[in-house]
Amino acid sequence: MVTAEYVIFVTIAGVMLGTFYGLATIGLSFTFGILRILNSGHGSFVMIGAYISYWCFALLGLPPLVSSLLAFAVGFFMGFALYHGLISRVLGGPELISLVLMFAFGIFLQEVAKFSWSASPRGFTWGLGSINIFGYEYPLTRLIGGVVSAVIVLVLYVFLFRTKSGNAIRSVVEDPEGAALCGVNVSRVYALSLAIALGLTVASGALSTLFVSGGIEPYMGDPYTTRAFAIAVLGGLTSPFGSFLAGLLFGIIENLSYMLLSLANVGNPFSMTRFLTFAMILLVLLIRPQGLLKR
Amino acid sequence: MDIRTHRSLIILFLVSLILLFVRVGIPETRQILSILFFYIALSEVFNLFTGLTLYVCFGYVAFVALGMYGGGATIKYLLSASSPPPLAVVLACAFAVAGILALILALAVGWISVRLKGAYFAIATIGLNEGLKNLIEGTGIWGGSSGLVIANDLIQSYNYDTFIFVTSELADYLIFTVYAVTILCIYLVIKSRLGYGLAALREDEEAANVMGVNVVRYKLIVFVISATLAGMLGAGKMIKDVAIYPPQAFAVSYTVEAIVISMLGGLGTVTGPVIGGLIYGVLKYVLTVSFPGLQLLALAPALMVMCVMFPYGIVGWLRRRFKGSKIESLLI
Repeated sequence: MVTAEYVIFVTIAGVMLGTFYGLATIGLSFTFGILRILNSGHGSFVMIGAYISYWCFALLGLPPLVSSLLAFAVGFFMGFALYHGLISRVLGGPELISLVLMFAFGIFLQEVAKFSWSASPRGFTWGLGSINIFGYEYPLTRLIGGVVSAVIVLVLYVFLFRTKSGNAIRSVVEDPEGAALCGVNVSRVYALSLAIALGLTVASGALSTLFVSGGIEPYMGDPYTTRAFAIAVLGGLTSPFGSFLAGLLFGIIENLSYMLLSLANVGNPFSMTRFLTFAMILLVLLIRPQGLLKR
Repeated sequence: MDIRTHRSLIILFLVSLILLFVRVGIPETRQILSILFFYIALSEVFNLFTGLTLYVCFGYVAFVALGMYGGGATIKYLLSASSPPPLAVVLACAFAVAGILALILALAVGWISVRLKGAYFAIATIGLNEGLKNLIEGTGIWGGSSGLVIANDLIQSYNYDTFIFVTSELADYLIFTVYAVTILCIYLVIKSRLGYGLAALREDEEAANVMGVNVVRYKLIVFVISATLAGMLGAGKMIKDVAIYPPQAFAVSYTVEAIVISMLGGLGTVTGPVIGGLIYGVLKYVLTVSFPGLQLLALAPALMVMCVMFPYGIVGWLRRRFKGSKIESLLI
């Protein structure tokens, strides 16, 4: 029986999951908004973060909160390397090339992970107990994951709107040529943006282990790619903070639809929720291709 | 009609026929050549849309998988009758259903997605694969996550010898037929009004639209044609494999391979995928034999290098190398 308390509980869980989804998507819209490159291998960076979190916990005993910092650093470095090694050469060329390039890079990360750590799923539990919300147990790790995601997004906001580098990035979004004329090093901004975007994505991967304790495997990123695309489209694709809000909305929708699908008993609710994600992408693109949250 | 205007197509068909005769005559080449025909056909199908429009569809394997499911389910359904219809009827129905299902899916997805530009189109199609896979696993249709196997149905309805003939001989010829039809289709599209419209679209979509090219309709037409052919290719693969399981059927490697072959040979050309497919097929065969399971690890960096250094592929390079000469006119 569905009580009002249960619906509220599911919604709160959705908000926590949603802030995490928001963080996991911000990198995607950041890259698209600034470099005009769609990271079609997005999910693989989430996967790398999850592995970093796993190995830090298994080998060093570090909790995901600490390893997410390391994950950010790894993603940041990867972003710089990727920009100077590959992306800068295809920038401004046909869209097809950068799409295929990122797609191939994502596959490459998956295969490297499979080669190094095998395809068998791994997992770990950072047992902190749970808190009681309206009589339902909610794991404390998820609460932490949601709050930390929100804090990271806040830091990004402060960085973009209160620092010189942040202003440079925003000026390039507005007008790359104008920014260059005013003395902004556009190429440096591109590299920095990709580094930040991938840093955030890999860090979100580390935090993902707070929500799902198992199932860390090379191909775990694919559902994240689909989901991130759905969320980014919902938020208008080019706006990072639009994506964050859309992620919040999406977390709530996903949790509620999972609840309804379990009640309605139509097939496997887990797979059906993933199918609905794809259906939602098409629906949003059909109704409002510029994004639901954009004016 | 002057036959010389179509000599490049005729040469391509002659080369394909020679390969087919090699396959018939030398049994040892059977395995590698049937892989080759499948991959070249897959890339031609992919090229028919992505090469001609420069819009990337990451969900191609979904159409192939849907064709495999549609074909398999049709065969299973027809053979469950008390007196199974003749083999030719069963196979024809399998191909028809596979094509129709892929066509319907392409119309539904394409109707929305071809209105979108560039990256937005890729977003609309990247989830296609995952979406269809989860729909099948979630609702449990066509065997759900346990897969669809038709081997027993074929053996029981006919006999073991027929089964062997169908899966190891006939299936290859069916795939070859799809391959030949696809080449003919892409050739006809390139030479038609549609092809010129698409060429204008590739250069500048806005300008083409202003000049009266109905870009949305043109994109939708080639998307649907190529998806239907992909579905039929799936039916051929189903008859060859006689089984399908969601994780393998929706494996992303097919999409990667189709992109690699098209880009290696040359996007938007008819000869490109054949040249790319020949090189790739031989490489893959060698790689699978010596390093099983690692082909994607080698393939992904190769694709990255191709994107950065040779975005126009072998045919594109040859065309520039022999610009103005007779060879260029042969490289369609």
